[in-house]
Amino acid sequence: MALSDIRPTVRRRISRGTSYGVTIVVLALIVAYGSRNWELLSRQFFNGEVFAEVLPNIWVPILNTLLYTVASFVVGTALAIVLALIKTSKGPTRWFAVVFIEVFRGLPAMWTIFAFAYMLSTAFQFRWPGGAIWGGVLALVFVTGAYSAEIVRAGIEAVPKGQREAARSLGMSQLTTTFHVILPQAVRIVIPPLTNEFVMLLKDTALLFIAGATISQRELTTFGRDGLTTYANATPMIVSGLVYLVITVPLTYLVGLLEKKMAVKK
Amino acid sequence: MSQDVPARKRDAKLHPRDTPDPDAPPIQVTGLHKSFGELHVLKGIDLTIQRGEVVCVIGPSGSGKSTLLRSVNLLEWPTKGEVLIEGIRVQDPDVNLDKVRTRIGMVFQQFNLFPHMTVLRNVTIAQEKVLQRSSAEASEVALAMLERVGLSDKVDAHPSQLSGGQQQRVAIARALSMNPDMMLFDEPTSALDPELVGEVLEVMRDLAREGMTMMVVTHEMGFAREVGTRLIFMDDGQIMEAGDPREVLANPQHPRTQLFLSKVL
Ligand SMILES: Nc1ncnc2c1ncn2[C@@H]1O[C@H](COP(=O)(O)OP(=O)(O)OP(=O)(O)O)[C@@H](O)[C@H]1O
Ligand SMILES: [Mg+2]
Repeated sequence: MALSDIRPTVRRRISRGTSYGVTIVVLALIVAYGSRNWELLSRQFFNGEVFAEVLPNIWVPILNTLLYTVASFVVGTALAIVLALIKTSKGPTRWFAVVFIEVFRGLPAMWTIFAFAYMLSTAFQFRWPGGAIWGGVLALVFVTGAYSAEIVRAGIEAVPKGQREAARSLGMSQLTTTFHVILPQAVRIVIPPLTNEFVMLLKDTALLFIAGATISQRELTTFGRDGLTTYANATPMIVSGLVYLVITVPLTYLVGLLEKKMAVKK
Repeated sequence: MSQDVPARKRDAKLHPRDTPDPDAPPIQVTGLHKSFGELHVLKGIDLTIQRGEVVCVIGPSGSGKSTLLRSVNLLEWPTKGEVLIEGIRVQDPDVNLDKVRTRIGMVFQQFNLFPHMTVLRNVTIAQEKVLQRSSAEASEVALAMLERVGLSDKVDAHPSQLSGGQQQRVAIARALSMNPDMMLFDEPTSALDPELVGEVLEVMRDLAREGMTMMVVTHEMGFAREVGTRLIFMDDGQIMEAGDPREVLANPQHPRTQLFLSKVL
């Protein structure tokens, strides 16, 4: 008897049973390995002494990660709104937005950061004020701006056509209509996906480690890597990883909640 | 006046083509054609509406009624032909279209209230942003208009908290708050539950009684008969028949009108 001949409910029960089984086996292996090598594991990954030494130095990288994320999110979202408005308008300037969006979505973020931080300053012989890392942050602004532009555009297009028509028929100008009628409604639609973009951006700030930071400019990943080489120990990486999770996991849940709430409203 | 005003604009100042002429008919449409790509929707419409007229437009689905109405305030740009509003040639590049539109109220089948604003804000926003009225003045006008449509107690509600009939009355109040000289209605009661149709028609009847110039696309033959001063039957992008509503409804001349009325009456 082939698997597909079994009744679907039975098949589902079997496949669920298999997945439980696999999970239990894997967990058992981990526990077995862990209990036998507990000494190594705790020394490498959860080392109290290393932790105590790096703890005072972690606050600056946390703040920097948040600073780079929030700065590029705020400026990038403003850029995204401008790009979306240009792209939804008619006329030749449309193509500027189209090309901008395609380019910065099409390039690897890592390439763009490196290009902004070092290629431009090398080619044009200048220094980024505040250091190369701010070139990298500008790259993140452009990358997130390009991604969010598509989100904002979808939000604008999700506002029913009748809204614009009603506003125009009252004599409102194109600009007044956009700012008082269309965008406020688009913003509501766009909050969950933009929060998602914020989470992605937070994770992408890790790429800034190639942009070269001074000690006071380090973000969490650079902090973890520096700790790894300094102490030849994984604890700083684990700590920085946990900090990322503490921020990203609740935000991701929030997005889910917002989406559910908006689905109910409709 | 500064010197660097472009010549075109200066001409417009000398010959103010966008000042309404009180003697001209509110709406005058001549030789109007409209195509959407290949689709020829309006095929030569001539229509003049005088002050105080209530012109009802009927016709089968897809005959171009909405397109005609939307062409009057240039929500649709004519492919050919002219639209004159109070004597102003609205397609003229010198004409400030937004300003003309403030004098044409429009009410839609789907109400199109702004869902993120309270009822009061719905009725004040265009007054403030377009007519530059102070917020106190705008609120005063809004309250008077909401009173007129019987909704003064819903000022703080959001559109989603209102019934369809109430939403449509707010939409009428919103249009009236701009002191329009004429009102366009596109099937204002078609999205309503039957028991809510009456309250909207009542408001429209009052408006007509007060002498508002109105153009109404509708399926409410009772309203057309009772309130309309003229009935227009449209089919296939053309005006097939027009005349006194009672006469057209009782004694249609064109075979298409007869066919259409035999189906809806
Ligand atoms: N923006 C548009 N783009 C393309 N086609 C359109 C557009 N607007 C209207 N049409 C088409 O033009 C024709 C006339 O439409 P219109 O809405 O004016 O008809 P109507 O008489 O109002 O019909 P109904 O009674 O269903 O409202 C229809 O075939 C419609 O599909
Ligand atoms: Mg229609």
